[in-house]
Amino acid sequence: MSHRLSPLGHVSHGRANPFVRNFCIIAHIDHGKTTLSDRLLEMTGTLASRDMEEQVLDSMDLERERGITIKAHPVTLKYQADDGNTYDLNLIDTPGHVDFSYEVSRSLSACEGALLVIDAAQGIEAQTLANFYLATEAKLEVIPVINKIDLPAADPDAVIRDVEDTLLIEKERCIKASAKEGIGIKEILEAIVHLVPAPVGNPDRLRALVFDSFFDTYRGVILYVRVVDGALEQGTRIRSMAGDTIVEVLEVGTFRPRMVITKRLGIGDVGYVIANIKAVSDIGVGDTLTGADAPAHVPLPGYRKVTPMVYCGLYPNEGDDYGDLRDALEKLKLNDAALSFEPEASMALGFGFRCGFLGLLHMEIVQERLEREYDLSLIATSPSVVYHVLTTAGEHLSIDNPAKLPPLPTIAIMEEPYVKASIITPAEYIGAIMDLCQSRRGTMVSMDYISPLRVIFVYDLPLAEVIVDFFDQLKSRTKGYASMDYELTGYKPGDLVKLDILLNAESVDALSFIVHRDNAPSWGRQLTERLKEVIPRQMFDVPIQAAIGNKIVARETVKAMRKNVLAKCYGGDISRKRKLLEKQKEGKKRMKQVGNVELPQEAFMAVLKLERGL
Amino acid sequence: MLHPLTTGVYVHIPFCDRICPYCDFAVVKTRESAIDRYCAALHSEIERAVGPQKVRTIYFGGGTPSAIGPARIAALTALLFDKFAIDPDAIECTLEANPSRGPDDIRRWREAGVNRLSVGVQSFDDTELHRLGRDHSSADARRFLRAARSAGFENISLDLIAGSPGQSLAGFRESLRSAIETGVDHVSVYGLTIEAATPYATWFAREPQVFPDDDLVAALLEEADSQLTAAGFIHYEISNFARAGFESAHNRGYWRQADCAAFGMSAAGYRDGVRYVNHRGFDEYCGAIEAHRSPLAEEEQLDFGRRVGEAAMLALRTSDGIVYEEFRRRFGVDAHAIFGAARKKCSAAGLLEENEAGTRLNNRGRLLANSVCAEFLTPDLPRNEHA
Repeated sequence: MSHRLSPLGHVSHGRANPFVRNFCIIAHIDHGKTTLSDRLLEMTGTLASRDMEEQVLDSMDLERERGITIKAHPVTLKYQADDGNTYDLNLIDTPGHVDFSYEVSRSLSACEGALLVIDAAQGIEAQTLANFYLATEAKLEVIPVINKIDLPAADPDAVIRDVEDTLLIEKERCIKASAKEGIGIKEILEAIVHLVPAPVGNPDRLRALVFDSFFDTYRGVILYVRVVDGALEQGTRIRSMAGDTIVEVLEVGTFRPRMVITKRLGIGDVGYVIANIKAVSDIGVGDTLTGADAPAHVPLPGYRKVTPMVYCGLYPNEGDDYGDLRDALEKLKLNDAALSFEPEASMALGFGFRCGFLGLLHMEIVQERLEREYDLSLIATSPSVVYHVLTTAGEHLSIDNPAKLPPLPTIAIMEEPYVKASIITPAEYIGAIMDLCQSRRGTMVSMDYISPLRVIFVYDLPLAEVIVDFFDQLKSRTKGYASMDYELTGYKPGDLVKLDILLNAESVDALSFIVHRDNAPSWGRQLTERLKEVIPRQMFDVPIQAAIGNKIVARETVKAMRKNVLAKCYGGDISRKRKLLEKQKEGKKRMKQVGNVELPQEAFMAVLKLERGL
Repeated sequence: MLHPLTTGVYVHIPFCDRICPYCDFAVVKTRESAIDRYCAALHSEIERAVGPQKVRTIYFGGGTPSAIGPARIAALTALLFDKFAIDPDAIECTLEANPSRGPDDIRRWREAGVNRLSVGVQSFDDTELHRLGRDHSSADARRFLRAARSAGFENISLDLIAGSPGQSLAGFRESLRSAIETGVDHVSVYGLTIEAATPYATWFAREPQVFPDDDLVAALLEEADSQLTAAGFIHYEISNFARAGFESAHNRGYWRQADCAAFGMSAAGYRDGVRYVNHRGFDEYCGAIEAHRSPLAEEEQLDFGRRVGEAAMLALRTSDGIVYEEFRRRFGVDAHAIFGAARKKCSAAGLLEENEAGTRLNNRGRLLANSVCAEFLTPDLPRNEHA
């Protein structure tokens, strides 16, 4: 799901800002992007080394824990180059995951150059390629940095050969480096000055690209901008070209890396703008700011409203927490324009919200933040994509919740989203990848060799098959060596049915899901087996059935519990036993009562754990 | 401090010659010097207690009370009888004993005023006994029980374990048959609980298949019920069977929330709605007594709702079950109403036997007592009452 952008359109007759360079760092996950950023900050004295204990740019706890960057953070480095001049090098960090590729593309379009970091031991991976293509389409000067050359397993020359063959970049451009050991950092800084073009723009009509935004409790929304034409100052009345919002600029500044107020942001400058903006959705990422009084006529290219790709239901474990969940979602939304939510009700789970996400990682992060930062205990239903349905009555429906699918006989055509997935793998796992993709209804588009040892596949896959356990399967079948990137390509019709799950003969709406008709019996079997494992034995037998319409396709039974009794209950046992039972009862509260069956939270995610096909 | 209503006395003797690999009680390996120190502490603790009171039962539990030698038991009973003005013939005085002891010890216990023995037989299968880490054989157990009768014990109980490693239904049947054959008056059948941080927990983690699963243990417990009741025993509590008139008076006290004074390390007592427990560590307990400090580790005052819930949990374990009249008398509550939701749920699941007078567990319910009791722990008390 990449978002192709045309470049900013650097106008040749415009004015240059010769001592500014705007660049970003792009890399596959774990190739050392963050360490390199830290090292550049340290080397340019932007931060003293004693402050560098933590990875500075990844400031969210979750980001640091998962080793990924979710929000893009800019920073200005003052660098005195060998030519004697001092340059402002604006580093615009980019998110490192496929879910956030829209943000990557925004960040890229604020730059003229990119450092493409490649692990000298791992070589080119799927996101290396995906990011490289995004960068070349944004007409950026790409400087390959072969990182981690200090590792014993490093083979920088082989990686450079692959870069030459696959990315068609001359090997002379590649810089061998070790961000960890501080090797090659000076060369990188010089290359930025000499290879990345200085920004050029028109001094007259203001156009500034909003490439990110951030909600601050005290100051409202802070926009991260790159000025293309004109200038931004305190007091400038600005208009957002997509949203038509008009606000007055209260403050502008740059990142060093903390926010520092400046008088003005001119052509090519990267910095922040504070105006009176209440929510990040008011002026979206990708929007163009222009002067309210002398507006530009054409916005900068590429603004697109981000649409969620994956939906799931989020329900409070305790019904009383519904209000808290709504408040928490509203607060997260202030800072996350891609998150969407609407109230929904489930027979099984009560009142909750249907939430839309960019992808599975985004979904997991939001859930984790809700639980950690807002202390909520949640039940998440299994994720679903958005299906397009044409009814026999000629109505067009978008279905993001399987429970809302109209009855089968009233559906004329049903379509599901497809992605183009690029998978890079060591050649020995070719068979494993083919088997996996085939079992997920994939069609091979191409298969090419990057080197004799590495292969890149392109597959056409239904998104629904990708969001459920695909990535884990990919990793486990290739011992972690394969990497993947994907982009949405469009909708195609499919022979899809809704599979319902019945517990004790009662349909549990939150467990329904949509599946290809051919796979329905096998999925039904696996899901009922899986549910049998996760549903604890109760005081009575619990039949579990999977059904398409009225037709039962699979059945299992959780046998009634036979024994749950404590042998001794004398003197000291009495308090212990009472406390144990009180605790058991407390534990049961975390279970969801569906009819007379007590369901653990895992039951609602059981569909994620199915092993497809094979 | 003792209270006038005290009816039971529990004395904890933590010593064992050998510590069983499944046990997580407060136990100490037998050592003469430690026994002397401990008994001195026990004597002080008892002497410091304040009377008067009507003691009906004494229970020496452990550990293995038989491990400290009959003279020390005699000293303790003499002290208790004197201190609490007890007529030894009017009370039940139980000692937990290991069948590895000889006839001389047994005779001297009887002379000391002990009139009931609870014998840790565990099994009549020597392979099972070996796996349980016991230091006696089934022949030792038979010999011991005969000697106890000869010494004049008219009230003898033995323990059996259901669910020991490698146990089969056939093997357990044999143990039950042997137990009945010995002519004991009372049998306790305990499902094996794997306690954390015991050697069994480690074994279970490595080879769970060696241990009978819940379904098999359920079958074993059902077997115990059918064999023992057929032999004339009354299944009067989940784990206990007795010939008529031989129910454990001391344990019945626990199940009726009667007051009980407790002495010794880890001993737990109850008075006036307060549950308390002494220090669990040997040095902590002895040290506190020697320094004239209280040996109490914890006290918990039960609020009214907890007391009623606990009373229900305990009553449900007995064959009497929850008797509405009794709950009205003891607590002034309508047990039929306040347990309405719990009764309805468990009744629907087929675990209760109910009539106008009360409710109790049926055979299936006894095996699922935890699930049932958990429902009864929190009664729906009317808001204005006992706030």
